[in-house]
Amino acid sequence: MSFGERFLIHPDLFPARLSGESWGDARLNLEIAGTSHAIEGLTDGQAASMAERFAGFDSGVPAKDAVRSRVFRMAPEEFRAIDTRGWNYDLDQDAGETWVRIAGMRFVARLAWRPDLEGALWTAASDVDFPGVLENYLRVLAAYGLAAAGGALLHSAGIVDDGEASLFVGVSGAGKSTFSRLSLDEGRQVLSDDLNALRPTTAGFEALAVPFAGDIRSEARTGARPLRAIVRLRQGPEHRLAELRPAAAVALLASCAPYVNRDPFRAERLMTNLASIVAGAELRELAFALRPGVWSLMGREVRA
Amino acid sequence: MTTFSAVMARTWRENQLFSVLVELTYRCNLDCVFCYNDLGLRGTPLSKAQYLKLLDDLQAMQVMNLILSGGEPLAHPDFFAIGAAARERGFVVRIKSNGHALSGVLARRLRDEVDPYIVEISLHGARPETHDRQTRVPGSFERLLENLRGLRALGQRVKLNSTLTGWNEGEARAMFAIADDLGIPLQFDPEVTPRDDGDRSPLSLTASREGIRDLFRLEFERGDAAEAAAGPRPVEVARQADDAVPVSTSKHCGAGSSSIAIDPFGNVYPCVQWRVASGNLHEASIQEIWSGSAALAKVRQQTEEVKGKLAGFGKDAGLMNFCPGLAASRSGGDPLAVYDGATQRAAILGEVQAERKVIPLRVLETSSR
Amino acid sequence: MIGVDTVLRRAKDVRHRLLPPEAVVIRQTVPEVLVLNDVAGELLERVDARTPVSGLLDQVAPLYDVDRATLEADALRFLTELAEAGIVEVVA
Repeated sequence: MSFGERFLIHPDLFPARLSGESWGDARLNLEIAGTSHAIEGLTDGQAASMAERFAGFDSGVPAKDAVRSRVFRMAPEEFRAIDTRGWNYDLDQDAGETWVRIAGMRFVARLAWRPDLEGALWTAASDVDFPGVLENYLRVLAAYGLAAAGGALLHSAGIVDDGEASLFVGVSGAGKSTFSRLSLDEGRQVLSDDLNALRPTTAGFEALAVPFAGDIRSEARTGARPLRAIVRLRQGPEHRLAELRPAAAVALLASCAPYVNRDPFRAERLMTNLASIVAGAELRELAFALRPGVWSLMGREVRA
Repeated sequence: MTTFSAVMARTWRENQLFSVLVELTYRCNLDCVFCYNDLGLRGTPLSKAQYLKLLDDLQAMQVMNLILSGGEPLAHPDFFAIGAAARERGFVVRIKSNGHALSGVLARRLRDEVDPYIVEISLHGARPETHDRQTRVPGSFERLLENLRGLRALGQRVKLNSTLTGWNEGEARAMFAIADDLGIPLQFDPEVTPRDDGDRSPLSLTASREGIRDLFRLEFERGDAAEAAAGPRPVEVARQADDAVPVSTSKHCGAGSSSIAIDPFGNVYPCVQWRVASGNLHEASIQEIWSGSAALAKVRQQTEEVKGKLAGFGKDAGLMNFCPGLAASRSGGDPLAVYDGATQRAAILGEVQAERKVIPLRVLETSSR
Repeated sequence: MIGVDTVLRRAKDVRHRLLPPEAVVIRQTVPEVLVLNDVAGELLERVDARTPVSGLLDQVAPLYDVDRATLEADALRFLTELAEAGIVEVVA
């Protein structure tokens, strides 16, 4: 099945450039993982609902160097009706040297480097579906923006301990959410139990929450924390901590870097970023059991 | 008996709006290197209700030709609603499309719901490398040929347009062969135009002098062959009013007199190539703009001045295919400023005619955009 | 044979506009263009697949300073020509 066919009645109408009919004149200014984003072309209702949903990430005023995204109308009849029962929602993705395109439920999107990153979202969703659509788009945008900035967006549980953040990475079902709740119970803060951002600083990498990730919301959602460790996570009969080899860590992170890891035009850049991340972090493998005490082990070992 | 040409001339003379080009959207599924759309233009897009009101008004004004353009007009979220409404209101609808998506259901819906008089589609080369280099969408050439065959099979009248560029000037003969094979007319425009925001970078694709000369030779050669084979060509009807009108008028063209263009944000211009701000449909109705716009009044006067100025070029005037809009965009605002492309065209056409040893009565028909 | 009781409709491919003192008619499928005089144009404008020719004449008569018999004769001649050209079709 070729690009877009799963979602679009006429995949050949897929926009090849960033233009169309805006929904309205309202805009939203967001701070996502250290980058300013200006989302233009919204209705007042769309902008207000997103500002409420992304409270704490709304930067209020547009930054001069903001990544600009425009939101355009698309006819509902351009999209296929999809029976989502028992269906695993995965976006269609395609890339070229200077562009990326995405197709999903009730939206398509395009990112372009001209040379700075810009984006556009075309959607048939005006109201209740819109927040989900915009979040899907922003995930892709943030992933590419971070990769271009030398960092990465990673499927992970981001836990703050003593002012530093560690990312616990694992395949789906490894226990990221469970581990996050255990960590909260043990007095740690959670950036996100699903997606976290890493971006380079002059003193290594820092971890940041993103506004559209995970069910656990804590006061740690804003601000940046120095990265302490990358930890491969799995559940086990008891808490046990082991070393993780750098090569295995890079491979692990690559498998958990959504969108960009499927992009042949940006794979090399991503791998370079991940190698830098791994080089400056403590690397561990953690098996955890469903009982307290994991952070006494983690805290001691990781800080050692 | 009154001829159609005489009626057309009257529309120019009496400022009877006859043809309206509507750029429905700048959304496009191709990304042509030399596209003239101003993608930086901002504004509130016209709503479906505003388009329907516009169609009502244009029908009441007895406008006959409605050209739906873009971008890719079929990519507008309300294209079929607008197109079907145009059909119901009795317009002769022309669609300017890139043809990339015109297959299957979409092509059938276009025929059944909009019933356009003609679909005009751009061909940028005779080879995938050339066409796709222009569209920047791999596979667009092969897709287009497939879609053209499909449109013909559906019984849809199609015409191919091509701008001669430095990239495709060596392929004109092969492009005509493709068109002939498909049974579709192909019309070349030898002039690349600046973008509507004034960006002149597309001009770097302008065809060479030799390329333009070869095209003219080829067109004469084909014209001769067609006449020899079939006698006089059939009369093509319902042409856009700003095409050549043989009946004498005091105006150079119908821009602002019998035709206008409207962009996706409701801005009204005398012509798609002469983008003088003449009003906005968010602020006034098309009737109000048509009868009250000082900018349109000035343009109407300027088309007379252009005619007067070109008269000074004698026989070359008819060979220049002079476009006041292009003159204005190239000179920074003066629609009377004769530009190189026009004089060069007249010179080249004159040379080719001299080769043929004919009296230069015939002006090759070109229709930009 | 078109008479005052005939009901007509415009052919599906006909597009027309009134540009007094003429009307322009385009048949999309042929394609061809015709220029009609204003009487023929006004009649064509009113053809609706329901109204008999006599009703069309009632509507058009106030527009012209001409006696009914002359108008009727002209109208029947014009409508017959339009039918022969495929621009209008007899419904009943």
